[in-house]
Amino acid sequence: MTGNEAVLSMIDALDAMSVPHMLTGSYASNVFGIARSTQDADFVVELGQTSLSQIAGRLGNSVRVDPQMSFETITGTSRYVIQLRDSPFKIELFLLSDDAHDRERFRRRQPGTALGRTVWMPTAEDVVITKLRWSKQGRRSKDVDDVRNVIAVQGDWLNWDYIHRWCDAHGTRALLDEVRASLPPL
Amino acid sequence: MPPITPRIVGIDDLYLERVERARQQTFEEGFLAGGELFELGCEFMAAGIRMQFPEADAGRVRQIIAERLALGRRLENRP
Repeated sequence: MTGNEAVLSMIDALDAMSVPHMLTGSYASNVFGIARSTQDADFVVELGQTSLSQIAGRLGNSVRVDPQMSFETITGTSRYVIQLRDSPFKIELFLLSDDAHDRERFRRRQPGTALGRTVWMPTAEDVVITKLRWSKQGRRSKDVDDVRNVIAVQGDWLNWDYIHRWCDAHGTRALLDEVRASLPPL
Repeated sequence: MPPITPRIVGIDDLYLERVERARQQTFEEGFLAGGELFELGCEFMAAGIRMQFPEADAGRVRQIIAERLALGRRLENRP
């Protein structure tokens, strides 16, 4: 099973169990920016009464679920890791948290279509806001590159008032301005 | 035949070409690209590993790929 096949299987499983979800991280920045290789797929899910083992049961034997939940410190989000058995690719399930922006981007998520499925993703603005927030602590160069590329590709389509409001709240406005200043004239 | 005039292309021009190509891509193309590039990268990595370690079986090649990806993640996440 390839990474993309695993992502599609996960979407099918979540849809079958009526679990609201969205695909975030590099999959989203690849749709809104310039595509790059990715070895994991990040989903945000609102599990409700559905258990991880129910989801794993639908994915079959091609995956191995790590039952140990980990904790992401920036937004206080819990995370499960699902590893493909015959590939280094992995899927991470982030439980929808009480963080204000986490809930707002989930509420604003939008559908796209790929291989006959509806794929829910955050908006381009929320990709920028989230990746800036993540890079604030770790300052991973690929997150900053993703932000730069989304801004370059989306151009005037972005709602800057919305982005500024959340970047001010997260303390990432200076980083945003730095990234924008690094862009060549478009 | 007219003379060929070399076009001087800077880094910004190359970047703008990538931006323009990305603007033309469909949702589905963007969705699939990251996973496909990863599969391709793993195939290249496996070919290199098999050349470096001809005795390595498929399981050992997968193991070395996993080790290299883990190393890459550690380097990426380094402050």
